[in-house]
Amino acid sequence: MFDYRFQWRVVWKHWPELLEAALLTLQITVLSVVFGLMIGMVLSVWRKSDNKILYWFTATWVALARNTPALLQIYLAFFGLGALGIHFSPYTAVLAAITFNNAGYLAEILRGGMDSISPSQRGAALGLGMKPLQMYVYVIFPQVLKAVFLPITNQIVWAMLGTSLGMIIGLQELTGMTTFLQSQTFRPFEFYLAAAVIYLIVCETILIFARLVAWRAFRW
Amino acid sequence: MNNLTLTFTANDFMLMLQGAGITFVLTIVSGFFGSLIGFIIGWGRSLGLWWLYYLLGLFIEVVRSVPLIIQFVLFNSFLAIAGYPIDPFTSGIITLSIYIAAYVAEVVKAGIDAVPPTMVKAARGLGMSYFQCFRFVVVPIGTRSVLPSWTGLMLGLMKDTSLIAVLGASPPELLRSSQIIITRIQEPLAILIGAGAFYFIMCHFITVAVQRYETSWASKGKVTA
Repeated sequence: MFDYRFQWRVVWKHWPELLEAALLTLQITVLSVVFGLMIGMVLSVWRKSDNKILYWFTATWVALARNTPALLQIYLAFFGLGALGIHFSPYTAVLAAITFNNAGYLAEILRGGMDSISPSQRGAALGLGMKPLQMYVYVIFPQVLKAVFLPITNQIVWAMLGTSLGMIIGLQELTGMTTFLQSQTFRPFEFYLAAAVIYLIVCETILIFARLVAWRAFRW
Repeated sequence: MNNLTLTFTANDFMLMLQGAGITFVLTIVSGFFGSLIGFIIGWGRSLGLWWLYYLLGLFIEVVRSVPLIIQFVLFNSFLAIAGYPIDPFTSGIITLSIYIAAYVAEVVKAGIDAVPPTMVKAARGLGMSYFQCFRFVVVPIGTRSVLPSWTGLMLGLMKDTSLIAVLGASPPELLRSSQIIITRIQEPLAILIGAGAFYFIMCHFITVAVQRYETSWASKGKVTA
């Protein structure tokens, strides 16, 4: 029944390409999380604002990002915006789409965290003469980020998994590179298994790093 | 007969509608089996056997750290080299079920943990067997606390079904059918927005339905202490 011969040497031979692709995956993940977190913070603040336009803008962003597939968002960024004359490279399209997606989810996570912060903190900060921006930077967000740290790490892993969709529009990150190499060597199983192991390692690395950052940052 | 129409026709709309139906069926079927497997795994992890806890934990960790696309292709090519090739649609459903089961298992574990231990002890002290206690105390209380997260998972699953296209599964689901139409009429923005609207409506529909069910359920089972 099982007369398949595994050939690992060919995977080993292409190790540098896989490693490079994994670094690209990591790079897109980190960038999309950093940008997504920044936009998500702004969105979560706007969500609380009295300005109707800002409120609806954020509500729409969050609803669109959360209720449509990430793949559709990548398609829209890559093919859809082309119809408007905006042409993204696969790299930019994936980064933009995953950032859009991330910002929506992170805004919702942060909003949940903000609801857990006592309103008197806000009053106290303003009463001490802080400007709203100072209040958010020095009082609100440090507490919010600590409260929702776990959901955020989940979201980082999600972002990493999401970058694999870049393969479909021809970006050679880890999944795309794997697909390319297996089509050259006709060794799909070995290559995809190797990719799965690399993803596992990247994922664990991200989680350990996030824990380190949290341990360093949240021990006031 | 064989003339090519380059505009959006009623047939295209029907194709997308059919695709939405396929997406829905994929979600229901793999959501059902995934929840079943996930329930068993989550229950297994709550038994207090350390080796089972870590073994199942390893499974969850692996499934949650590897992109779904890779899992699709890996499972499909594994079946091929093992000598049991099955059609991509079925292997896609199996992969989706296993994939979502890992997430459901975490939710089930959280639900079981959400039941106060004193409640379980009280139930056992009243003479309920382990399974009676599980069936009549742990499950009802736990389910109420994790129903929203479970709904979130099912919505995520519906969006993830779009990845089945990498296997070339037929019949095409919603995103694949939109791709087919785009290839012909070259109108990506409009069609993709349309497909997005389909997804949006389905997600919204499920969210509202579950919320309504939840409120009716919560008021029905309210304990007055």
